[in-house]
Amino acid sequence: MREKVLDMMIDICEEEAIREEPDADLFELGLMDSLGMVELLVAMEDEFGISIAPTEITQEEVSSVNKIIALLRNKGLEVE
Amino acid sequence: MSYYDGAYFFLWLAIALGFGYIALSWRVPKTAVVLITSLFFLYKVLGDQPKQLAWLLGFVLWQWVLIQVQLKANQTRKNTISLFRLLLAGSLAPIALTRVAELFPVPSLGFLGISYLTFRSAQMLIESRDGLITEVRPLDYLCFMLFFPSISAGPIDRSRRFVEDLHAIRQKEERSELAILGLYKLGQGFIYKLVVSQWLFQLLTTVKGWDRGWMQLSAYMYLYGLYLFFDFCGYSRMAVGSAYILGIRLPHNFDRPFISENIVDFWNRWHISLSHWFRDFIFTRFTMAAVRNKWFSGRLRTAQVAYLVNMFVMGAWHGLSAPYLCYGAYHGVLLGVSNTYLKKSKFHKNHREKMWYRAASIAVTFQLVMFGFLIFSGYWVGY
Repeated sequence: MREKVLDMMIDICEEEAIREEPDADLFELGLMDSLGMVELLVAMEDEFGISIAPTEITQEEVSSVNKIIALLRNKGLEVE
Repeated sequence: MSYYDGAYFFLWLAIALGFGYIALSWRVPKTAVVLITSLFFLYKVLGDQPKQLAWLLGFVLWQWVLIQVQLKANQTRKNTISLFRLLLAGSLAPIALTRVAELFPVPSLGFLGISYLTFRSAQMLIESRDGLITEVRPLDYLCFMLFFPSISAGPIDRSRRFVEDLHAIRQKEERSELAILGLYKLGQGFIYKLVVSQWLFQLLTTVKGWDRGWMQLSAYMYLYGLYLFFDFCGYSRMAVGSAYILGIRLPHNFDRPFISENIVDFWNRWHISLSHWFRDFIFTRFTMAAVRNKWFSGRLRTAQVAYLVNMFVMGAWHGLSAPYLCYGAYHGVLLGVSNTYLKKSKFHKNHREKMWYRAASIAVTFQLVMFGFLIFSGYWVGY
């Protein structure tokens, strides 16, 4: 499951290196922006069936791979 | 009397904020303080225009009904997309009609604050549909909609955040710290709007009288841009400062916009509450639909169209006239181009950390922004 999340993030950020840096701030590194957020919301619904409204989360809550995993876990997904 | 304008307003503001702060420290519920002061100012400002007042209160009631219908539909599991679309259309109809009516020689349909109130009520409706809002209590609703510091021209707050502040009970130290910060912002805003911006306006009037030419146009452009900043930032600061004194942390509208390094950065620094509202409720939703249904070939194209749509609507929200629509389209195109440049340009990637590049970026962005304000000013169509 973790692999699936990583694959999703690498697809959105177009950067393999984030696999090694799950705590890196993706927005600061320019790997994520408003459009990336949208793709994340759509991907989370399509890949994991988890529906999150645009104003439900802030950029801060999805700024790193680990944070995204934590969010998915909170929403009921079983991720190691 | 007008909000944040004229000696009488400021006199009453001082009294209201003073009494408000003391009441809060005596543990009077914030809801009561906010509601009483807001209704008081509503009466002072619109008391002599009963028709406008009636429209405003009617609007507030209308939006309330729409939101309650949506919430009820959620509960009874009858919240279809068609119902939501109908309610949303009803919610946006007043401002849409007002803007359209402005194009014709008819008396204005609008009332003070209609454009800003629409943001607040539409946000509540949309987030009710999203399931993020499950209840809207009448007093909370009235406080949020009629809150006097921001009713006339923002900053545009979000209801969940506002209601949280409304019910937050702060300890004396935190409360007084916030109030002192509020006083500081109030003072700063006062100087910006009533001193600096007024002076710039005088200069602007003088320049208008100069002979037409590039010198005159350039001078007008820079002066107008600076005037707009000091006027609006000044007002916003006063609004935020007033709210802080009453324990409400309204969001900021400006963050040193003239040091923006690109247009994307600019819209995180200029009229921030507006820009973020459009980002969250128009840009993101349009883009989600585009991505999901694959309307466009690739990310860059999707972003370009989304930015154009988003900013054009923003322009139209100001008014359906050439200056506003062109302003919106201009920034829409700039954002699309900037986004592509920031993502794809090797030149940018190679030099983005260098001081000379960043300085040049700030200078270029500043010119683009000033030109945008010239479009906005309508000077080119004789305003």
